Amino acid sequence: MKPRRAHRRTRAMSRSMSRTRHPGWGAALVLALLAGAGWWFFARAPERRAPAAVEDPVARLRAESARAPRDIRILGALATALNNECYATRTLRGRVQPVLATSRERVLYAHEALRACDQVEGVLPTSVAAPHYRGMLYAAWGLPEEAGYALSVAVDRGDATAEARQTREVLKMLHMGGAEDRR
Amino acid sequence: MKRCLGLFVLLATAIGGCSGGRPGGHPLAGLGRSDWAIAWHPHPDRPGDLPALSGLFAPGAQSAVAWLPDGTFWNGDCEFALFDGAGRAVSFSTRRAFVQGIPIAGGDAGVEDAALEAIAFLPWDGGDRDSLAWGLVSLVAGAPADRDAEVHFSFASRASGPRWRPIDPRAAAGDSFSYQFENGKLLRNGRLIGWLEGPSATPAGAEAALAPGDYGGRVTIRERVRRGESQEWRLWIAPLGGVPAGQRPGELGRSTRELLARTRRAWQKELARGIGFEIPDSTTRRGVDAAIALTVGSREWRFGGQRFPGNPFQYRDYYVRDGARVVRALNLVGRPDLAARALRNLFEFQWPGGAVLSQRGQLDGTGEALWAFGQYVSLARDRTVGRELLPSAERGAQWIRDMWKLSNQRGGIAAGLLPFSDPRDNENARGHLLGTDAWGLAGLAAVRDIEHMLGAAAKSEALAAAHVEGRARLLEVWAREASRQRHPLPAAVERGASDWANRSVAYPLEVLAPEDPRVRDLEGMARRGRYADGLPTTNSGDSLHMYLGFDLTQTALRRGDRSTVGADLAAELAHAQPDGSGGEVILRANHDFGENLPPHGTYAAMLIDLVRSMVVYERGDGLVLLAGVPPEWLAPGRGPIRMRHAPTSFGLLDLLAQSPRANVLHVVLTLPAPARMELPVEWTITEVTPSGARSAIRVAGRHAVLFPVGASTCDIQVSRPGERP
Repeated sequence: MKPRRAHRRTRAMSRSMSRTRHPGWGAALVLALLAGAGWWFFARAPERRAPAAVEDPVARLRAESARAPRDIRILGALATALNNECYATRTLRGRVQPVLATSRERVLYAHEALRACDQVEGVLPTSVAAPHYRGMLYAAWGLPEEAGYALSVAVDRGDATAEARQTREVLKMLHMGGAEDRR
Repeated sequence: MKRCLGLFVLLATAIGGCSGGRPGGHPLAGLGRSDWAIAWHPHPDRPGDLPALSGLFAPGAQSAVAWLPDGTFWNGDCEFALFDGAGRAVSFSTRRAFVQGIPIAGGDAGVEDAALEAIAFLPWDGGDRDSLAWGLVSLVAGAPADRDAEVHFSFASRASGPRWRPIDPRAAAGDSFSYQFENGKLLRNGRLIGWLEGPSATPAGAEAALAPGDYGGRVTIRERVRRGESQEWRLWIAPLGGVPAGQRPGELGRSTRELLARTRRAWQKELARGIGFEIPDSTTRRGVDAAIALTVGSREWRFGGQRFPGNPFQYRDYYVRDGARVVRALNLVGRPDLAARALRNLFEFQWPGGAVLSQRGQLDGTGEALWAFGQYVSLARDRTVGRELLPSAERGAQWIRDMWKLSNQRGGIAAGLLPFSDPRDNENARGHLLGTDAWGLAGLAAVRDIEHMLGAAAKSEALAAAHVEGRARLLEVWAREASRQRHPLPAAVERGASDWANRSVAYPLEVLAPEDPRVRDLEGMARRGRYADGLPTTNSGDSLHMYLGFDLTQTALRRGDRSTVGADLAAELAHAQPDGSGGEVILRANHDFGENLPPHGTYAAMLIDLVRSMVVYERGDGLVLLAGVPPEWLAPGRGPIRMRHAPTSFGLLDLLAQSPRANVLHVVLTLPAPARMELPVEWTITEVTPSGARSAIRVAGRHAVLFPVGASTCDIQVSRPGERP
């Protein structure tokens, strides 16, 4: 009951104030707002003065590729940056930790990297780098058939890198099993 | 002008009033003995005591607080410790867990000549929204009735904590830390990590360049408490990583008593949304309560949606292999709303080719996501979500078929199997994990059934054929490898893999029947050589795995082995935390969980599944009732076994079973499908007395009663060993 009575009194006071239109209340309101703004400014100043964080390469490359969506150089760099962050680790108080906290972020980054590869091929259908990169990404994520297929495409387009050849060989060996397992 | 000044003073007072509130009243007033489920002695120096942890979490919150066995509090980033006047860590001689699994914990300690009562929780108002929740620790020092008491203790904090303690990847990075305590605020490197309320707090002064394991921000409290009175101090623990210095705990002005009452109400309301489930065994009840609270409450709003991390602490990440079990458990406890969200989370991990993969190399995720989809649609009977997710599920099913086809074309030892995988998990191997194929089969079966239900007959038949072919190929490989590896159902084509998903082949994957000799041999081999103290061993045998055994227990249940089920459940609960929660891996020697902090979501989900199955499970076109219930739960004088609105794949079930007197079991059922009630083999049914004149209830042999669809009430007369008729 008490709050309700207080509420009614406040509304009555408010009506009374609006009827009398006393000029002092307006000034008080302005003063209060200024005081509040001052408190807001000074109390939060240390936060605003905090040093700027290191620029996030993924954010920068996303912005760049949005500006130039057909620039395969930027798209390739974006795919690289996204994929690298999936596996990137840091030492946090003596322990190795992933930079991206959850698998959701890691998987989303990998998918975005794959889309960037698709975009590269949209601009340059004979790209060697795009399938090469896609293959390496799939291999690292443990999807060997997808990796093998992408690397085959890369090789068909002229990919002569040792990395592509070695990865395909390793995948084939793991597919077929070791000598001990074939016995 | 006077009025202007008056308003200004009023405004300033209002702002000041918001910046800090004083706790008032005894925070535990109104709490009775019946509010605590259990009290125990957690001091690690006391031999025989289980190192126990109280997990403090709240739905929606992105971080949690662990009250560790040594009495410290840990939020994944900072440790908060309490020391007595002599600088020794305060040990809580008792620890209490709240009823119904609600994550509110209490404890008692002595500081100088005062008794210190602690209560810790994450204040929650019941709102299901994104929140960076603060933890609250209330400490109340009480003086004896006949004399004043001198209270002298101190708080300190440190980044990290002891070596090897898990650190959340979102925690602040840094090689060294500076601390500052000012007007109740504890700052670390300029960010607010804690807020202390209460009188006589004297800071030690600013401390800079402390190593992660060093305590800083020490605040000493020296206060005289008058005879018969008490004084409260409150420590608010910021979300991990701290918050900007200008922020404050949102609930600062509210009393502990109010926050406690509100949090309790919110949890009770949340838990009342699920099924009603009563078990006449306090240990099992405590375990199930803790499991339901964790399964329902370990959810956060993040990335614009609701997510279900596998554990509030170091597993604050998403694993499809855990999430699939959680989807089923959420359905079983009557929360299809949460289950649908958890299910959609799984399909967010779907890759362009159709595979569902949350962690590198865990190819079982595809089959698991499809199986979870099947569980959801079957238990929630929700065709809408079925239609919504069916295209994604069909892509997943197609991926499995494509992979089988490709490996078949390649030939070799793994022809017709899913690709090799490197899950970096409990399998401890890289290779063609045959449990992954078994999960794939379960996934195909789920999509096949949903397609059939939704009228896509041709697609369903195609999947049925693929399932038959895939199963035949898997069994062929298993037969070959069994003789080569001298293992009834090896974990992988490659030697050396640890048993994992191959133990799930009968339950839940239904690739082989529970009675199949291969399944029996696998279970026998596991129990003979890879179990200790009633639980599966892991690592080099020095550790016990707390949820790896559940599927074998479920298999034994479906084989009618009630005594094994009872023994397995007893072993699980004996190794659980005193509050009923369970972890993942514990050391066999002292049950220490080390850095793998409980509670674990998969343990909770699988415990719920097991206890539900003990009361009811689906078999063919009907239900099996009470097949795993220990005879002592049905002893005269015990409380009822009761389920209200329990989801089954046939619809909702109501069940009550209780022995009002010796040799009589009173049963009240509302069944969505015909059911067979299986009573302990030691019992002999002598007569069944239905309540209605006409009844289709039938006795089937000495130990079983058949019930028709719909409502049934009856008294079952039995003769039990040791009981007079």
